[in-house]
Amino acid sequence: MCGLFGFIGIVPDIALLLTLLRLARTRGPDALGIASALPGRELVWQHWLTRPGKTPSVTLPRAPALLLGHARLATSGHGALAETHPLRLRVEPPVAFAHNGTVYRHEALALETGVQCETSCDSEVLGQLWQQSGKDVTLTMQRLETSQGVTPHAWGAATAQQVWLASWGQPLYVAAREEGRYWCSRRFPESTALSAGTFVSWSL
Amino acid sequence: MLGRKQSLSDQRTWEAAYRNAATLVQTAAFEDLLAQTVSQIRQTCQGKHVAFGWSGGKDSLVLQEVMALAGYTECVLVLTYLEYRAFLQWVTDHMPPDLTVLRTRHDLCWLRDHPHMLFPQTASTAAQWFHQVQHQGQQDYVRARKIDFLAVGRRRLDGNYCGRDGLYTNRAGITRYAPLVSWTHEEVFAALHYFGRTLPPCYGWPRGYQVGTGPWAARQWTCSLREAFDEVWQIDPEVVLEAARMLPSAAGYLAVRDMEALCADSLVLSG
Repeated sequence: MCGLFGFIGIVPDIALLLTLLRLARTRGPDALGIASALPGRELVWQHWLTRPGKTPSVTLPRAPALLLGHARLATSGHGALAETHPLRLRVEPPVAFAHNGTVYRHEALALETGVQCETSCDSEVLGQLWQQSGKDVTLTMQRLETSQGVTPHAWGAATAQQVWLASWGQPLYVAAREEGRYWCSRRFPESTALSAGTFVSWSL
Repeated sequence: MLGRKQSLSDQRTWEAAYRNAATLVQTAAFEDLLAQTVSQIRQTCQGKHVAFGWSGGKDSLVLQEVMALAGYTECVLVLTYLEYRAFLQWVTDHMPPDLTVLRTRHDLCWLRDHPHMLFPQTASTAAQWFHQVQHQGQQDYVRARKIDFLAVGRRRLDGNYCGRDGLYTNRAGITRYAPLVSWTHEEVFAALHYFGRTLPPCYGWPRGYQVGTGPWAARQWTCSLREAFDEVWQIDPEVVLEAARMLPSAAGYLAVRDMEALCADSLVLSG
């Protein structure tokens, strides 16, 4: 289980963004990661590993137009920074991918579908499948369900100008405010739940 | 009726009780018990900040349901770095929405430095695991969140201390509340059936109902290191292979296992 959070818009309310970070961290004690983009700039990744009793010194970018955050509960590779989300999918333009859920038999699925992965993280297979499908969320989830049946997932992906959020049985709450849109795996003020089996995509 | 789990190592007896739960506890009887339990929770917890401990075990799954019916959804799961991967995957797929996950410091390095904690052979060592992981983690959570009562899935039939009427405060000042204090094993199984909950994979593992959830290294009631590692190997060989890089006992187990396999091959060849 992991926690997702983020923002897309003009300038975020940093206090709210920090609240979302804290909420997401309740679901993922092992690592924290952020992919963010200032207006008109490329995505930048920041990753932190966390240990009990030691809170990493996290500094959020001051005025990101887009931020995709992830707090990880590692099912494997506790000390592997390379497996900390958001993962960096090696495509042009670069894509950040953050996932809450489990891709079972992910090595076999990668072989069957011919996707190339750079980490041993199961989530990367899902991200690559989504890329392979031409960023078709429904097709990607159908492919995953053909492989492992219906299991719960939520995930977010981002380029420097666009974000995609999918809720497939794992919770994801979204809120629209004047300055932009926020999301988090846990309920927060003024948020509504994305219905299971739906996705949204927002651009700058 | 099933007795204390500590005395019941027969996996088939538990599995039969699980399968027959709906026959053993009929719908009307279960609904009465549920209504009574939810009413007691509301009465006991009124005006209090209440959360519950969630381990993914059968009792905590039932606790999750009855607490939700009473209006409480905040909960905490305390994990070490010595968990089975399959269990963590199951947690990922089944966790309550308002769950907070905490990790403790217990990892392979810690286990290497505390070899007596591996596969507890005495009640005192088992209690140390419980104190260092569950109690300490829950205490940190309760204090950080200013929780008045932490509801837990403890039951008298599991041999757990539950205080009078299921409410008790320990020396650290943490008040725990056991709403299922008087429930039987059969009633717990019936609740899982009526709520449509599936059990985590550990119940299908060797002596799964006796051992329950928890770190692999805290596995109880094994007669020897060999038997303990054999069970863990059956569940997930990767755990033993990873442990062997840090723990002499795990490396020794693998060496003996390899030697025996070699001897068996030699016998086949010479035969």
